[in-house]
Amino acid sequence: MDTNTSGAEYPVISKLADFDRSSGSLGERLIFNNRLLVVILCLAITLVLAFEMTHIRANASFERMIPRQQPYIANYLANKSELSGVGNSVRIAVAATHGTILDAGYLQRLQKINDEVFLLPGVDRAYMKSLWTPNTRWIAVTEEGLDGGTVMPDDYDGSAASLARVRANIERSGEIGQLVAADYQSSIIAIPLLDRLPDGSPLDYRQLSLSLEQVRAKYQDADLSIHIVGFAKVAGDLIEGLRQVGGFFLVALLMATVMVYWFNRDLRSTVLVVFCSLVAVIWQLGILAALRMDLDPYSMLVPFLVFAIGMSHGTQKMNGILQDIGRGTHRLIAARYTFRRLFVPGLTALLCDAVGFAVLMIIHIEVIQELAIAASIGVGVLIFTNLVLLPVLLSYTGVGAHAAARSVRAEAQDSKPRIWQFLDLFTQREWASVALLGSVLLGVAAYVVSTHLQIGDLDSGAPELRPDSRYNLDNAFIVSHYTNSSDVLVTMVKTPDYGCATYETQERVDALEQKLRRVPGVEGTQSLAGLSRNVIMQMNEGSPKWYELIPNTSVLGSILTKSPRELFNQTCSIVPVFAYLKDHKAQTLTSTVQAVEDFAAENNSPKFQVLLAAGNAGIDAATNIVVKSASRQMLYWVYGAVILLSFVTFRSWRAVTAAVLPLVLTSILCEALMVALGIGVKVATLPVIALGVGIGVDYALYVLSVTLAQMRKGKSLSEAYFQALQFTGKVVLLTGLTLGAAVATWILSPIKFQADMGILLAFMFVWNMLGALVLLPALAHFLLKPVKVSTAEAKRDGVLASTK
Amino acid sequence: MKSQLICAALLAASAVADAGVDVVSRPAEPAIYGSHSVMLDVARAGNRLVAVGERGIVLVSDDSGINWKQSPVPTSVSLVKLAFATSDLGWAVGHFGTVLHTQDGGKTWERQLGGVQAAKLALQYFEDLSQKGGGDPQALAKQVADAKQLVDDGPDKPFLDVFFDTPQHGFIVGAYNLIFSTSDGGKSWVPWQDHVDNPRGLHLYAIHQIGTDWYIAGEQGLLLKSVDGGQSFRALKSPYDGSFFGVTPGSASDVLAFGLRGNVFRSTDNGQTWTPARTTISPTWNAGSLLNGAVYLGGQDGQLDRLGREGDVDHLVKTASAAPITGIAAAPDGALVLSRMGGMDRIPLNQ
Repeated sequence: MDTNTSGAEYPVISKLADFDRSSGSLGERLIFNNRLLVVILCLAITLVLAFEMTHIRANASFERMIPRQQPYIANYLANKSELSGVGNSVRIAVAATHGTILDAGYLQRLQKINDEVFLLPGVDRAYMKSLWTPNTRWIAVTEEGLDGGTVMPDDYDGSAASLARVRANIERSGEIGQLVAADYQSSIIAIPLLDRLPDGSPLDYRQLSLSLEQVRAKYQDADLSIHIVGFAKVAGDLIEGLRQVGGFFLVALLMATVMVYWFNRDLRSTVLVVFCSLVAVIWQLGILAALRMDLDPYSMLVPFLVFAIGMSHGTQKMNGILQDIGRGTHRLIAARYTFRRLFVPGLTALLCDAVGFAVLMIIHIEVIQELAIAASIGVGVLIFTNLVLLPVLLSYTGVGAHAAARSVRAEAQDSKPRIWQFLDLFTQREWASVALLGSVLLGVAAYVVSTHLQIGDLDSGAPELRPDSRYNLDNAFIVSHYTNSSDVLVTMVKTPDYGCATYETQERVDALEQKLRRVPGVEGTQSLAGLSRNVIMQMNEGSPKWYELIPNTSVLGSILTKSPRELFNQTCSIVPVFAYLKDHKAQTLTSTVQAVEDFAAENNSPKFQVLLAAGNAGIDAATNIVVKSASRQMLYWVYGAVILLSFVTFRSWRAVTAAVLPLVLTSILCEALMVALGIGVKVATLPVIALGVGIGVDYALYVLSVTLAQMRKGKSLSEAYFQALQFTGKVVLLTGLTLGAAVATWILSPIKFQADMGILLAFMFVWNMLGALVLLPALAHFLLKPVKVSTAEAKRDGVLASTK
Repeated sequence: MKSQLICAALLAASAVADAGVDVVSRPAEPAIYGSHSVMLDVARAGNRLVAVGERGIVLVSDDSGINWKQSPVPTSVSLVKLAFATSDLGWAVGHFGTVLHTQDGGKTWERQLGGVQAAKLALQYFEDLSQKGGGDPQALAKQVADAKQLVDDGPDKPFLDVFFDTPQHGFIVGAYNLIFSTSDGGKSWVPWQDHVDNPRGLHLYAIHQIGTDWYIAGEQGLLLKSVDGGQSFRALKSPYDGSFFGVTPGSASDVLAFGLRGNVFRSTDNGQTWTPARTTISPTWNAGSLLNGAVYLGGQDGQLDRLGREGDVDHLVKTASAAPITGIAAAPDGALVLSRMGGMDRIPLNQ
């Protein structure tokens, strides 16, 4: 492409009649000789898609956030219906803020909450458990054998005597730490959920979450506090958070508009650039809705990116037209010139972005793949709205004469702007050496830090939400008052039907439990085998001398009748082994999973299969495995694609090196930043790494293509680079800041991972911009030598660069 | 529906003849929770304390129970009871018919008997006896049938107590009327079921020599006594239908039997009559010992009672834990050392 802003190829033509309508590429002629049709077509599409867009739904689906094809998850999904204890459930802790739960008033209100929750749609009523449900029982050893009953006596009347019996029953129930806090100041209502309502419709998390909030609002007061945890509540809170994100979009829009206006001081073209970028967002959302895809907390990122990328490319177009019009060219011709000059680099840049997004498809997690699809669609529509529609619209409206004159005046000034002068210094040996040395030192230091990068979520509770969110405070309350941690990794032991109660099975399950308990980070375990030890003791009148797994099948079989259903399945062929972990950090998960894998390798047989993994920590572990392998793979792909596209554009390995090395530095710095901020590589941050590279190369494409073109004409590096700065530097600066500002608003999101994405993307956009403006010329100094070109080469370059 | 399932489960898994071989012969692994494991008994061996517990855990302490060190043991079964004849010679018994022996005060252990071997011994012994034709043929036929059943069941029965009156002579008792005697320090064991008046085959939870008499306490109020050095154990008239888990000498030449639901009975006439003793209410007394001149009882809810000379409680010892107490011993420094289901516990002298 020839980006020379004046000269023979782009003569200043002020009268339309003097312009050869048949000049330019086929595409250009097709578009600009049928301008009205293009506008009408785009308008029609916009109207249709705007209508579609109104149908888009915000949702957060548990299963779409997990890597369904990962073997652990496949095992879980295959056996999900058999596991009653690991499914989706909500726990409500009802706490007495003064006094204890052994109070008639408290118990009465607990009963009301219990009854109200019982009736909510989606509650698996048969398995709901609280002090007031009949499945909460006590047992005691007597001379006649085991005695038992419901914890709330049948003749409970709220009297002191009844309350004393309740207390005694609780003590004998084994529910302290499970259903009742050890300090007797709170008790739990455990609510298993159905995935689908009896009518077949999927559970509406938002509705359930709202209903639970209504219960909270109704009963919480000075005497009673209510704490709710469970995935359904996380999902509900996420969806609520999503709705707030709409507000950030407005902020981003406003900021970007102000920046563009500050850049060109022309209201007319600024409005058009914003308008076209918004049209792109409408198309993107409309197509998404037409494809029946929901907006989830991840794909929510896409409209922001589409808008921001649209703004930067739009500004490039507008800038070109501004300058041509400023020189006196007719607005239509100016639009065509700009199209001619910038369509291909714009297309290349958008393709790089699209590759950055598309590479995400290799991660087999549905939300990420949907993000990739949504973003690819978004970048695709930008080609139409901002590379085609925008120049066409500008060809009608033109720009304000004042602003146009201003842009040319700035360029024509002999005195070079100070910032360009400063950046130009980096083409000199001294400054280039300093910049490179600094970068190498920075890169090495950052690399050392980045080796501490963790995989997975690092915060406790629901990592999707902020540590001080109500949900995480509720979670902290429950974790601190009840024994079982909220991070549960479930191993499924599979036997032939009716094989769960054999001694062979239980002995191995017991051994697995022992192995798990030896893993640092495992705080406790639970399984049918562990229960058997205790029940055998109970059946022998509670004597501790019987604390052993007895190899007696009739004894072990009779234990099933006393066992809670979460410890085995209907056909007695699956025994889940629960491991309660101290956290869900990668190291804890890895060592736990490794212990189980080792055990499986030693013990698996056709009659005894150890399968990972269910439970939230099991899913985290599987997700981490997918994320870990994807994170490297994805980098290879995205860098491979970027290198290939750069090579196609530049046809020079030296240029590719100069363009790509600054990106590598940014990638390393980004990882170091993640370590510093305590952000792990996870489903939410993985896309950022790909996007950062894909979008980051845009700058280098713009700057280096102009520089190279100038150098091929025989100019020195300094001259060429200065020319590039003059023509695209301002826009690169603007682009970096616009993109950065748009995603930076995410930092305010109530959803933690969106905030993390915002920080990292903002960093990468801004740092990549600096890399393109500082490091690229420095590298160019050592890599690109000005060549005295022969006429033939110059001609070929001219052909190549004029982009047909 | 559920009961059908369970029946099916039973059928599917009826063949467990060799079950437990792995856990029986696998050396005990280092205790995950150290001295906080489930511990089932503690005994004094000279100046050392030795404790046993779940999964073959044996702990020794040379500083009166402050620090514990695990000893290597050739099995992973739960060990439930300990006895020392001298400071060096001791025995530990437990599940899968296991008997272990130490000759160095609990530092190293070797297997003396296992459940499979014990069952074969019993069958062989009673078959030989019935062939010789001595004694009551009907009673012997029943012993042979019971022994066959033992062999068929596999090693699923535990020994529940052990007592040696000399380094050579002692008894081990267990579930379903298991009892063996030795007169060579455990090198050979003789089935002793035919010396015991326990026609219902109840569990024998405890055996103790008090004076020259031997007492056995067992399931469903079973109390047995031998006045002929263990040659024949005769049933005593029991004051209680519930199970007794232990029998111990009292502090005033009396005998105490204790067990289920806080019941303690005292006899001052060598077991002829028993009177209930008043103790703090406890679900069950698991352990009881005469230590430092007083009887201490350890309960299922973690309670520790000291009994007065009349057998009634005169002091409730404060302990920090509610974990069931399974064994009580006096440390060389005078402290009480408890084995609990929550691990080892030590109550210094001043309490």
